[in-house]
Amino acid sequence: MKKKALITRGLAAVMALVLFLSVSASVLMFDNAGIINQALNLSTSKVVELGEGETGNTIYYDNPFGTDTTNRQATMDMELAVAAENIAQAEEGAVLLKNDNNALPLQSGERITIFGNGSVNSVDSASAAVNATAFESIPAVGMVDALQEALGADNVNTALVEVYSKLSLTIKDEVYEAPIADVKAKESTWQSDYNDAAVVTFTRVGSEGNDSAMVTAEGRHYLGLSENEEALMEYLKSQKDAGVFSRIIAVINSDQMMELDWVDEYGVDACLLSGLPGAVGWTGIANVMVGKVAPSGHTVDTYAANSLSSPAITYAAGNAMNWANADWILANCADNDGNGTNILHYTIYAEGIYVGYKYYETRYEDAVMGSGGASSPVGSSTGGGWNYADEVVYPFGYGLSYTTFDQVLQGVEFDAVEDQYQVTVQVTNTGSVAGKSVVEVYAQTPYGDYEKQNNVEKAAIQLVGFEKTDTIQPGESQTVTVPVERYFLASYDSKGAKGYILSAGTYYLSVGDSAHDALNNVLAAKGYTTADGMTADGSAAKTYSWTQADLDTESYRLSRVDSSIEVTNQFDHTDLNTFGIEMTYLSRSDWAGTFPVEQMHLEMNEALLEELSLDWYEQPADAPAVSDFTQGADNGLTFSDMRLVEWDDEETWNKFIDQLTIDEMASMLMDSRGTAAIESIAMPAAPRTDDNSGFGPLLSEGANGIKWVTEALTARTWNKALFESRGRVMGIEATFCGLTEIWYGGGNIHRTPVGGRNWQYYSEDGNFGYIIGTYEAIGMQSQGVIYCPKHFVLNDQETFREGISTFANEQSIREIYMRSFEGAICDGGALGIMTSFNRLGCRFASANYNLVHNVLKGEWGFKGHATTDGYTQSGFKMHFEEEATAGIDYTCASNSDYGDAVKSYIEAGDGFMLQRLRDITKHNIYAISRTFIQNGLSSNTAIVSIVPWWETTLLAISAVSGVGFVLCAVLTAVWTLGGKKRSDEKEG
Amino acid sequence: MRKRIKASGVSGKLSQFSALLGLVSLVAFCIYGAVFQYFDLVVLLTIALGVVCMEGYVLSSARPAQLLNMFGVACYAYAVGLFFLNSYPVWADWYGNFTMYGSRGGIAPVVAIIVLLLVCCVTGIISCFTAKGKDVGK
Repeated sequence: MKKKALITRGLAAVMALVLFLSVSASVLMFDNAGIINQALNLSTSKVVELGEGETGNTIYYDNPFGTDTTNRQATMDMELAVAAENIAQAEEGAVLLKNDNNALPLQSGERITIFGNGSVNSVDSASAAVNATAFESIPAVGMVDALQEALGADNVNTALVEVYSKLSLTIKDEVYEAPIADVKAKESTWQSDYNDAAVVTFTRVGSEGNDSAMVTAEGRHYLGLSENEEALMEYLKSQKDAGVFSRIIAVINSDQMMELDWVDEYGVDACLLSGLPGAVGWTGIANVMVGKVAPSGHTVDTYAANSLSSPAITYAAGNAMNWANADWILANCADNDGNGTNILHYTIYAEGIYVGYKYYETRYEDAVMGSGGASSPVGSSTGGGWNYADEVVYPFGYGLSYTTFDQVLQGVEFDAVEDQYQVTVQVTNTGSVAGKSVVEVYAQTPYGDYEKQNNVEKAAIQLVGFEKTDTIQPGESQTVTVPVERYFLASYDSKGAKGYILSAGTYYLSVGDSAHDALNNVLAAKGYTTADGMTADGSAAKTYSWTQADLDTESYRLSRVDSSIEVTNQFDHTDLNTFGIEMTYLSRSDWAGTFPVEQMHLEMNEALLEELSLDWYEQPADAPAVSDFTQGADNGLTFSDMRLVEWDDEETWNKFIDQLTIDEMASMLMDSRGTAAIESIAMPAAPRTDDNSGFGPLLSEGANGIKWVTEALTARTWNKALFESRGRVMGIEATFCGLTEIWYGGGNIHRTPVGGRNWQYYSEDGNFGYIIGTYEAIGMQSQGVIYCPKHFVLNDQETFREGISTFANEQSIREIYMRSFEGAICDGGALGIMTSFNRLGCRFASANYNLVHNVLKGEWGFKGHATTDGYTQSGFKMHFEEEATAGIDYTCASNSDYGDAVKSYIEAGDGFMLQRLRDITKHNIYAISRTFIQNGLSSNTAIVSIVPWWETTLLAISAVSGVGFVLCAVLTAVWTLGGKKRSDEKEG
Repeated sequence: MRKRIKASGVSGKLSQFSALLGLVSLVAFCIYGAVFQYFDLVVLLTIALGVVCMEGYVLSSARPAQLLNMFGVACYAYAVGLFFLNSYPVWADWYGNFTMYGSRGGIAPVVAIIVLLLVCCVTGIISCFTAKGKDVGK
């Protein structure tokens, strides 16, 4: 073979490899173009002046730091502002759980020793270590760094850093702590010095896709102390008892609700819940520890002595169930991906409304009042009769300070116009340092015969409003008025009224330092005392009560935002009883008889299977024809014209949508981290991204943005101003990076302490979620960035989240799980929402007509756009025609076939699908037109699409290698086979 | 056959090695596809075709067979590209440390099969740049 043929043959082989690798890479990268463009900080469209007409001032959302991500100084200035915001959040989000003998704050000049793997290997959010996540010019701050900065480097004994540096970060099912022998090896360093305090830090984690374990390989509760941690605490107690350490201070670096009964057992003097403070938040935590700031955070969850004691745990997380007849399901379910990954599991919210404190506090009241068999051993952690003091270590809403406050209920007024109670409370700082106080208002609503007959459950106490004071100086007072939505006092009655009711009977509003304190006040108003088994006497003066004579089924019969829509049952399909499977939810009328002690091992039946298969779309008989609509018209409207067009202006919207082609409308259904530019209507590209508690490599020169304190930490500030400012500052970061929407806002519930994303969700309480969501949405959208809470709804665990069938009753869905999203949508005006991977009942959430169409876009009047959870190219999770019918406006994260699927129906003559596409387009355009990308647009501008350089490069490589392969292969063939001919001729 | 391989020079030996490795890849893919339900007939056929081409290059002395190692590499390359695309859920779940893409089997077998196929390609490419022994290919 000739040398030149060898070379071309080799080159052809190389070209073939390059060709197929580049084509594969192209397919993958084009599908995820948005992610790549964001990582490379590339725009895909630009605004050009047409040079005609007037422009005027078209800056609607001004970013104080500009929008030039290549401007190093501006980036730095912005991230410094972000860091300051994070530190402020951490300062107010730290919760002082215990502080005997003023163990905290640490005093100037005191010398301390740090203990615990968590002090070095602490976690900032999810399961990520602190040291990897700060903006490059603003270093991440670990706990040790922060304490050294606050106390002076010489005052912190870091002898154990060397020990802990060799350990890993604690993971979701294994707790890493140094063997006590390794700790004792450094004992000499604190025997005569550095012993004013031992500061010990413990960490627990959960993350996306990963609930925390319930039990570890040691056979211990994951959220309790591990063997090594227990040995460490025993050692520290012995050192304190021996007079080595003056005091022990525990720091809890976790958003999972740890079992903290050991705090008293090991003589811990002070305990501070730091939570997960992001990349720089330890500075704020240290400021609290040294007294620069008085702590004012309160818990947003119940801290139980036994993390597995709540009724919710029976079917939650790792206790999720497998259908008993898996083979039958696999053989018969049309929604089977081949191995049944998403169809074989179920969970039951058997606890009904008794989630978190609503369980523990309600059972407590019934125990005190001797009703419902509350003191039965069923569900008790000790094996004896159920006793609140044995079950709860720190209640919901609890938090101490370095000062004390006196709260006096001054009055309650009802504002009929706002449909709110206004609760006025005077707060006086009775201590010796300045601080902020949280005024928490709770309610108890009647639980009478009607409620018992109709399975309407009532928590003994529920949060209905709160406010945080300003900083109050010692001896000074501030009067605070807390708005309380009357709507929060209504209960959902799915059996009798099939709507919201206001029960007949006595209502209480109570001011308290926690849910438990507020309940004690209600009990005091009812005449109960510690003699009846109360944990402490309450104050009747902190309650306000009134009696409603008759049951009211009309006040909330109609939607609060659209009086043309009746609010009625939508979730019969999430209740097993609908499908002939008898299911009893927990009821306070019979604690022992209804507590879910045993799991129900269920077989799926035909009726459930039909729901599971999710193939219900049919073109309605009265559907319009495709020809009834005009597309591609020239009506002279541009994207910028729609900025202020009201939702109800049907004529203008129809004229605008008439201009779009079906292809253009369909392009908006496929996300790839944003909507592509549409030149015909002068709409720029609208990138969006996942929150991930930080902005990732979006800033100048690919640097990472600062990783934020977690959502749960912000929640613990109980400060509406900080909720709003978090949204606003994240919005500023987003506009700086050119992002129109953040899939951010943690609407799911901390249903159990082991939920993998408790760090990303607000709290265990629906009303709390309603309030924080409202303010975060207002803050973020004030910057022209869409707030997009997730994951709507009942996605409160990570285990089997992809497709798990979730059964719950409608009362709990409406009063807890949907409530946590409702504020952001109805009051905050959020223009985004992300549905979830799981199923409501057996119906996939994203294709759930009742959820998306009837409730979200019906009752709640949602005008923004709704997305699926991450589209994963796994067809079993997405049912495009059903999703389009339900009202899903795009599939998130990467390109999908959603638009193509909808188009195929329209091409086949389905006018209903075109009608749906037009409605979806209205939602998409309405949402995007309210963002900052309107800046700079006018009738004098046009949009030009830009092809990113990497797309051009990949296409060029594919083309060159393709041509090269063909050329080289042909030359090789010619030179090889041609040579043969000549050789044959010679021989002839 | 042994004689023919011996006489096939560096190019033939590399091609033989590539064929053998391709066969190992084929078996590995079949096991992987069967166990974790990621079977793809196109991947299977292209690997098999790659093996046949490589082996055909070694065993045949016909002039057109001089092109077979080149086509063998093309087959392997196509297979590795398609397999890489098909295994996207595995990469994504591995990268995200979650189960969102419903992947099965973890990343180790995927990496192993890709590495095997890439080695097949590389040895095939070297084979293409080198000549067979003098007694073959005429």
